Amino acid sequence: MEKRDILRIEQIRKVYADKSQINEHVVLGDINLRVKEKEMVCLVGPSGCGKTTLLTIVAGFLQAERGNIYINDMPIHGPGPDRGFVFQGYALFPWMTVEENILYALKLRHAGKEEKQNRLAQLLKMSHLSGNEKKYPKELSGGMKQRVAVMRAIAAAPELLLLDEPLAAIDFQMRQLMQEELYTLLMSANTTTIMVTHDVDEAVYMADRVIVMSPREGEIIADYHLDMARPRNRHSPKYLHHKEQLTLYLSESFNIGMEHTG
Amino acid sequence: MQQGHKTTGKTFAFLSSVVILLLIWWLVSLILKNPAVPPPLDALKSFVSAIQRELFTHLGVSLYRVLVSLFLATIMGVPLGIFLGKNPEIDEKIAPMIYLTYPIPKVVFMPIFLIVLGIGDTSKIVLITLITFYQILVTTRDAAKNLEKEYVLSVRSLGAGSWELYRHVYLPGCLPAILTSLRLGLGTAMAVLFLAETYATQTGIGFFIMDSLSRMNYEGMFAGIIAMGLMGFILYLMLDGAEKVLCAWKQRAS
Repeated sequence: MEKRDILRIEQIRKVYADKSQINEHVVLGDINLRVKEKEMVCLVGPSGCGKTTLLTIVAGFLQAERGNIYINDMPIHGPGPDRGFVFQGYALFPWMTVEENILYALKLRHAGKEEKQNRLAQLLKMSHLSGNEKKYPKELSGGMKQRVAVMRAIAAAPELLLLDEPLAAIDFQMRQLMQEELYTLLMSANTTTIMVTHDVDEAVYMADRVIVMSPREGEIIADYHLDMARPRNRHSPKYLHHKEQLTLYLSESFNIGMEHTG
Repeated sequence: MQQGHKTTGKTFAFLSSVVILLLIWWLVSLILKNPAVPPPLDALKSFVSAIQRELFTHLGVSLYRVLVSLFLATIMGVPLGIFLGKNPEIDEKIAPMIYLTYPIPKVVFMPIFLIVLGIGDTSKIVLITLITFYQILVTTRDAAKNLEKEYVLSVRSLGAGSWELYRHVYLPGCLPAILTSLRLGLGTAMAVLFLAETYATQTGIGFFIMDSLSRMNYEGMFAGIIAMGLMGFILYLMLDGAEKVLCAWKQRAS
C-alpha cells in the first residue's frame, strides 16, 4: 500500500528585501516537496540555499509570499503542536526542570496526571534521561540537553518533527557519537522527520531521502533516495558511494551558487 | 559537607562584617565626640526603648507606605514592561515618552502631589510608586525585549496561546531582572520615603528622625535612623529570599 503524504509543500516562494526595499533576494523561488509518513528527510545545501528558511516556513514561524503548506491535507496557519521543532541551540526553558520541559506540550493540552506520568516515563526511558527529571537545563551536558529538546518536541506526538542543524554546534570528535545517539532516538521516536544539515555524512548516515537545495532560489537539484539497511556502516562500499554521489550534487549546488551571486 | 563549609563561611563573613561596621561606628563617635553621633551601645539602647514606645507606630506607617508603593509599582510596571518588550512596534511609540520623562527627578513633583493629593498617605505613596514604577518598567521592558526569540517560538510551536506565552515564558524569563529592579527600587523608595516624611506630616520614621532633631534628642534621632536601616535591611532580605525561591533555576551550580 502506498504510504500517505504527511507533508505537502506547494509552490512556496520567499523573498527577502533589503532595508531600502529596492533590492530583493529570492530565497525560495518555487518549492514543491512531499514527505511521506515515517520518512526521514535531510535538507542539505551550502549556506544561503534557503534550507533553514524552508524549515522555518514549514514550522509556521515565517510566512511565505506565496504557496501553501499542508499537514495531512490541512493547510497550516502559523506554528502548532502538530509540528515539533528542535532548535540548534535547543531553546530549553531554563526555568523549567527536565520534566516540565518535556511535558510542556501536554500541560498546554491539559492532559491528565496519569497520562503525563506515563508519557514521561516512556520518554525518559527512550532518551536514557531517567533520574534527571528534576534537574534544570543548566545542570545538563550538551548531549542531554539535545535529548530533552527532542523529547519535548515529540512529547505530544506531532505529525512531523523538524530539526534545524541539531549537531552544528558540536565539535568534530563528539559529532559521530552524537549522530548515533540522535539517530537511535529518532528511530525509536518513529516520527516523520525533516532535518536540516550541511554535513553530507550526517545525511547519509541518518536519512531515507536527501534533498539537495541550491542557492539559486533554493531550487531542489536532487531528490536522492537512500535504500540502505540500518544501522549503517560508514565504511561499506554502498555508503561511500552514496556519500560520493551526494558530495557531487553538493558541489554542483555550490557552483550554481558561485555563478548565481557572482 | 561542602555545603556545610560554605554556609559556615558565609555566616562568619556576615558576622565579622557586622563587628567591623560597629567598630568603625564606635571609632567615628570617639573621634567626633559629638552628641549627634552617639556610640553604638547608647544608640542601640535608645532604639530598644524608643521602639517600645511611639517609634513602633512610626515604623509601621513607613513600612506600610513603602510596601504599598512597591506593590503598586510592581503590578503596574511588570505587565506594562513585558507588554512593551513583547511588542516593539508599540514600544517604539511609547519609548520617547519614557526617554524624555525618565531623567526628570520625579521627587520634585512632591509639592504638587502635596497640594493635589493632600498631606496624607496618598501623596507619599503616589510619589514613591511613580519613581519605582519607572525603574521596574524600564528594566522589565528591556529584559522582555532581550528574551531569546527561540523560547517564544518554542512555546508557540508547542501549542501555547498569548496567556501561556506571558505566564510561562515572559514572566519567568524576566523575573530575575524584575527582582533586581525591585532591589534597586527599594533603595530609591526608602530615600524618597524619608524625604516625603519630613514635610507636612506627623507620622513615619522620617518625621520621627526630624522631630527628634528639632528637639535635639540625638539618641531618639539615632533610634529612628536605626529603625530606617533595619527596615531596609529586612525588606532586602525578603527580596533575597523571594529570589532564592522563585529563581531556583538560576541558583543551582552547573
